[in-house]
Amino acid sequence: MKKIFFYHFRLRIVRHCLTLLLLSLFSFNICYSQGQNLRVESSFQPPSITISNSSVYKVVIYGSQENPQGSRPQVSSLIISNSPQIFRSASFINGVPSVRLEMSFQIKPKKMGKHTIPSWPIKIGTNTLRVPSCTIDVLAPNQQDKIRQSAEEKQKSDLKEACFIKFTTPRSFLFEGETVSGLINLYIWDRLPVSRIERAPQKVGDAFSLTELGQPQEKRNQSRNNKAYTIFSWPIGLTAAIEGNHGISFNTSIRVRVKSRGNSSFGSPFFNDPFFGFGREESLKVTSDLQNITVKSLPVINRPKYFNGAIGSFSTKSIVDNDRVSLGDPVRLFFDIEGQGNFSAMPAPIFESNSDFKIGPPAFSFEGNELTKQQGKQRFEYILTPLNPGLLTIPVIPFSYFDPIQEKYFTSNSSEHPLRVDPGETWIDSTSGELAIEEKSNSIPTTDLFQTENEPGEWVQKTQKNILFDSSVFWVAQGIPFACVCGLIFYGRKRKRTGRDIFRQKQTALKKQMKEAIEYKDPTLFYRATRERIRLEIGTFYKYANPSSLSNNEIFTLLKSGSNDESLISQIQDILHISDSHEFAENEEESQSLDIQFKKINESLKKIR
Amino acid sequence: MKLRITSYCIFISTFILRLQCADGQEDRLFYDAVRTEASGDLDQAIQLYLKASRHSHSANLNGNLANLYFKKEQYGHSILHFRKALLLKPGDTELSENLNFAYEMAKIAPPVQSFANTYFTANFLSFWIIICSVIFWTGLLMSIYLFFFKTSKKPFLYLTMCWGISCLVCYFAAHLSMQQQSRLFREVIVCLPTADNNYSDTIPLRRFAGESNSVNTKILPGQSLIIRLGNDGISKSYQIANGKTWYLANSSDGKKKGWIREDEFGWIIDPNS
Repeated sequence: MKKIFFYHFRLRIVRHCLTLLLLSLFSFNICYSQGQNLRVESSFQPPSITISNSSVYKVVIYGSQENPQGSRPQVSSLIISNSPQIFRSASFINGVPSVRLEMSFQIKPKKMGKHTIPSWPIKIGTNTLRVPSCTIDVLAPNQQDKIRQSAEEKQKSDLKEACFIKFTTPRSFLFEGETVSGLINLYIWDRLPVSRIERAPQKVGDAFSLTELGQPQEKRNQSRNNKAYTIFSWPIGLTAAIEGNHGISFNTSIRVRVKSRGNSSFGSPFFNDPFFGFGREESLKVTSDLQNITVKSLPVINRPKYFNGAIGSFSTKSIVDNDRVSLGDPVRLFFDIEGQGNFSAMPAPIFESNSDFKIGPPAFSFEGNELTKQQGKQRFEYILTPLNPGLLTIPVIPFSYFDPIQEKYFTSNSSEHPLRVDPGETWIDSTSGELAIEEKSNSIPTTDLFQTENEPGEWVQKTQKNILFDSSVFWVAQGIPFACVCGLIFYGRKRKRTGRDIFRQKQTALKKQMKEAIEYKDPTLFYRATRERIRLEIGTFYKYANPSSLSNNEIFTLLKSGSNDESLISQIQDILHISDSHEFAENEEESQSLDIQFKKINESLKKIR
Repeated sequence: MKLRITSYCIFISTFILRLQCADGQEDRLFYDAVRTEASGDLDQAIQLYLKASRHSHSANLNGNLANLYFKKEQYGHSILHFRKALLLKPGDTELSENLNFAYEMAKIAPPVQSFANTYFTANFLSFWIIICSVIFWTGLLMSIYLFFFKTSKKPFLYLTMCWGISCLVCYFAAHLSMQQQSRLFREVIVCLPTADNNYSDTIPLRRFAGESNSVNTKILPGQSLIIRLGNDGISKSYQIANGKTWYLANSSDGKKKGWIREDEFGWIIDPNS
């Protein structure tokens, strides 16, 4: 036993020694091979590609695994990735240990032809080596590339049709400072599984300013290009800011639920049944077409003195809240500008104090489309304090504007308002007056207040009317509904006992079943329910003990026992025959639609005598 | 037989004559009072109106009486009779305005008009009872119909629920009105006794029934009091040795309470009528 133990122990020691020896030999070889025969090779794999394909630029350093340092040259006709994949390896070649380091750069050609990456220096440890130059041959696209390219283009156009932005403005040119109302419409195809709109459309184009975008208006089932779209519309006020020909576009991003890429058969994550949360969400950028708008400068010739930057089509009106005041009492003058134009950029008309009036800065208020501020009524409220008594005239407020349609300046003057200003009155002690009034109120002639009635009116025996509970008429009247309740309960119970209720329940259930069968176009279910209903109704009508056990022959016998027409019996016979065919022979042929059949059965069952 | 018929005829004619006499009497008294008032004898006019009111009531009679008391500056009586007149003619704006003015002159705040005071008053009691009755029977009939004659139980359940809630609401409204009714039956208006001229401007509410007892609080004529109920459900009262009856009452807001003599107030609804 002791011998066996020592034998195993010795064997384990020998095995460990051998492993250590091998490891030390391997590490020695690696150390030995480092710095031995340092050389660099470069190549393209594959060396020849078509323009739509990519290649790998491979730099291999033999004799070292140290990280190299160097600057890779740029070639204008090639797109070279910045982060190479690095691979280190060690091997024995003909018994000689060898180490190497591989760097792989992804290459994408921009154009056809032969493209060369020139030789470039690389530093490995203390040694500097040169990476040899290397050439790739980029060939013209083959048929497969063309197919792929056309598929990609089609996909792009499909995507553009699925979701796009349309931007409408009333005119193709604007004047500098002019505000027009526009509409940004985001079209989303109904079949595109959009989970949300990430943000409102953003403007691209510095030459224009935009009013704040509010909540969009949503229109569903809008048809365009033979597709149903949901349109989200943002009304905007667009103001031209810089003169010249400028482009404007809008973009937004939407969140779309898509299927995982691995499952996509066409490479496109969209349009591939991305249902019920099995897919993932992806952000999709939607851009409108670039729209060029010419911004003209306002004409300098004939520009009025009081022109203050108002552009649009306006009408003005002024109102005074009082035409007679005492000296020192303020008067409010409202100056209303109504129409279409750049209300948001419109300053208040200049209306300065003079010898008769002290005029304060106006208060603004706007009524109209608050979002675009392009159409509505702007009210300026001036507070005028008359400085002199007498019959004064509130001067006109000059207001000039430029009409972009007629391309002319207009000046609109408000009308003058006469104002009578009374001189201030002397202060009167009101205490004596108040006292007099108080005395007067205390000595109210009561004879004038309380008039005597000359007629006694209606005499009653009691001041308070009788309570309804004390009235016998009330309790007698209660007897009527009480009798109705008793009668109804009695009749209802009797009805329940006779089983008519059960019959009606069954009849209703079968009718419902028939209607469902019509809805789901299930003739088997329909005819099964029909047969049951015929049995039930005929059996109940002829007071048969167990209607559900009636056979067809028994049904005909019952019908014949009544005073029914032959045609009715044959009709019911036909229906039962069809029912049996559907039930047992699985006969799928359908002479009439179920709906018509249903009506026919109802009519037939009503005719039973 | 003839005798019997004759006696019947005599009895009926006597009854009709009596009724006519009674009818004519209050009218005569009323017109006399109006004439007396016109002649300027207000005290005599009041006496005539009061005499007429013992036979029968009318809104105009109470209104005229209230006016006379107002002119005599007896605001307590004036308010009492305006209230009586308004019970008979609830929508009369002239009476309401006069009452408010009487309250003002008596330096008493008029009752606050609230939703509860408007729609759950004694005047609305009959309305609520009828509504309650209609909803109860209609709902019951419909429930029975749905239960026995319709196969689906859903409408029955919904209707029963709605019916139950409606019945509860109506019952609550009727209950509130009945409370107001009960309160109205026990409501009195404090008035200065006409016979006694030595009274101050206020009426004392005493701690115990009897003249000699100390005063608990004082109230102004025209203010309303609610007579308290005893455990037996009737007004809590006590008759002292001199034959005067005292009642235990509290003010409408419940802040003032005490015993009051029967001639120091007037019932809005006379319990003896």
